[in-house]
Amino acid sequence: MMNNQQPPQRTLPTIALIGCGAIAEKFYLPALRQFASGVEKVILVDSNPERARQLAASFGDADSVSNYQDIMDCIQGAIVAVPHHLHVPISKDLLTHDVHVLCEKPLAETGQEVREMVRLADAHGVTIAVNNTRRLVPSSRKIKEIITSGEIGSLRSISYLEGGEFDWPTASGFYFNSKISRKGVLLDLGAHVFDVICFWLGGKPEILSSESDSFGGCEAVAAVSMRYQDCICTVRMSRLGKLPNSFRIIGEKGSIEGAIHDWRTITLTTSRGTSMIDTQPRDNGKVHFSRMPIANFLDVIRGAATPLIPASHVLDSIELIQEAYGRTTRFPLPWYEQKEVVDAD
Amino acid sequence: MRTDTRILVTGAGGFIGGWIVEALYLDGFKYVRAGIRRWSSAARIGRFPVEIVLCDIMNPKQIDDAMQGVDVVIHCAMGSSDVIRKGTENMLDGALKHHVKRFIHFSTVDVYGTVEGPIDEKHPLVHSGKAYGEAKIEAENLCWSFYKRGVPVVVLRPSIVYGPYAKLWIGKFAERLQSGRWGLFKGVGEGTCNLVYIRDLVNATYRALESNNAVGQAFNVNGADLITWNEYFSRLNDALGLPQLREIGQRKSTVRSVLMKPTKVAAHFVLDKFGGVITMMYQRYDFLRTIAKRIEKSMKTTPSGDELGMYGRKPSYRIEKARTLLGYEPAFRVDQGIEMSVRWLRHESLVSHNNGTESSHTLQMRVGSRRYE
Repeated sequence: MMNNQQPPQRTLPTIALIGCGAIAEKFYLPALRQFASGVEKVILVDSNPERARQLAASFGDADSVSNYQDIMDCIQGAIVAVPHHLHVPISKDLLTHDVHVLCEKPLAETGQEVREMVRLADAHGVTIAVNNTRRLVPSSRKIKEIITSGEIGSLRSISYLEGGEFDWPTASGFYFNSKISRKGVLLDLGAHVFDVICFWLGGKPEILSSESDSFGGCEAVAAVSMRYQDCICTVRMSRLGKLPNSFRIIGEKGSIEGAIHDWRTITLTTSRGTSMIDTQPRDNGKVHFSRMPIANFLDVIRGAATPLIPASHVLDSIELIQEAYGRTTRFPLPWYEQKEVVDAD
Repeated sequence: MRTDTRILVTGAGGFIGGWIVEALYLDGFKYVRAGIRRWSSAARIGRFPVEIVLCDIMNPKQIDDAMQGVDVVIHCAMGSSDVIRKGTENMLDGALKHHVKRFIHFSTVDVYGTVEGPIDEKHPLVHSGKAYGEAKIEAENLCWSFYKRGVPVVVLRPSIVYGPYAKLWIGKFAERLQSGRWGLFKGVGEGTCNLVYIRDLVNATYRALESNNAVGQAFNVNGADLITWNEYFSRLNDALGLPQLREIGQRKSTVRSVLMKPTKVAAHFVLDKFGGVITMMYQRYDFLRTIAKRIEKSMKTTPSGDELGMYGRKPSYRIEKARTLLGYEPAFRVDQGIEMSVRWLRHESLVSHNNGTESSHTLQMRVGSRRYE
């Protein structure tokens, strides 16, 4: 077991990227390439050895294996980018073997799982962080700052609408395998949406209602309403069709509006008028916010930093999602109730 | 049909295939295997706890895997002309190898070309030169050749299939009607709109699976009402709660269509050749975004010459054969089908709830039937 207070390491860490699906190829490998000077070696892990070899070859100086358990003793950190249902068992296994973990979102499906992982990390003197980047987005941070400053007063409502046709090039299709998990957009996209809402609110709202279109499989559309103090939050998410992809926060003294995928600009309205705010920090030229968790993770392994988003920070949002699932009823979808209708005319 | 029949549906990521999978599941069929070409198309059927498998009909290995243990194949997958032809041949090969007990092939009334008047299944198939219809004729011919080799084929020729999840005949027209640029095409839109509601098509499919008289036969599948295209636009417009449609004169609609043709050709050429640069500039410059959106809107809301031709033709696809041999009877009137379709559009937030007077953000703050804002 390692000590909780480790001195910064002089040697560079060996890290594993576990899971070689679309997110590994599109996001983690390019980021690891950027920070290659901070890593001794990268080992790519996938149950499909050919896929792992293929990505390792594209990375350059990387090894590949098909089972992460074969390398747990020779790595200091691991990025867990496997299908959602494997996040918890693999992360727990790694933590138990004194390996720092950066896990892709959603970290877990229940609050109990999050607490257990935090407990394991503490017990083994390592860390577990989660790649919930949305709270690192410049506009999200500025919104948090405005809310905290009291500029728009006490919050009255937050509405958040995000959706589009599912087009993620998933290789395994685990998103839709109801034998593995019957959780869909509420868990997958909700991990981002509920996290950023909890981040803005500074706490966990209570669920008022939750609806989805699941017939026992993975829901594609979900709508949840919540209350936090005097603030009503409404969220709608879809994998089937385009929604406005925007949010609106209304306070007693003003409002903030923005487009979800415009990570830079927000519109602030107060008694002084309406203004567009460019939230992109001028001194942030080197590391894009989306890659901050990875840069930070390498520093954490070296003992030079604490996690940007430790597991404990997403406990509220994971519990919120868990509670929403517990309250979910099906939307009225009358076209599925029709069979053969005999018309009197 | 027994609910323990093992059924493979190809094209399950699409409108018709998706509906058939969903209906089979909801009607109690225990072994429904949904074949899709790529996982990203599975979001809709993923809501149902059915088995989803990759079944690219151009990939014989995937077909072989998907057909293991299957009793019945419902072949709805589509694609380019090559995919329709070769993919159907691959599926029939698989059906022959796996001794399936019934193979339902989804064809189209487009196999009759652009002829008018009453059309039953005795009408010869007409090579119209349109790629889709031509490919479907070839696919049907393949079906009959495999039928002779022992595959128990049934061919269904649906007309214009609409209903919830129909992006083409519902989603696209709702968008056109909401644009305010659509109308009633005077002298052009009085042709026959042969609509069949999706649930009627599902019911026809059930009968094609069950009937002892079905094998080796082709059946037209049409709906309960024959209305004109202008009536369709008007009824959908009313159901959407939009202002009354204006009339567009024949000359004006034809001129607009002719003028738009080179714009469409140029836009496709530019996007094909310079897509990357265009996307980059589109993201960077607001004025280019505005221009591009205007062009896109004009293109979407101007009917092509082919469409205008279709709105003017008067075919009537007869369903007496399906009535007699299958016991098929369309149950859904057009107004019922349109009403359900509009409820779907509203559920998906694809149209306004109140005639467009709410902002797009506010109107979608509804959570089911509740509202908190």
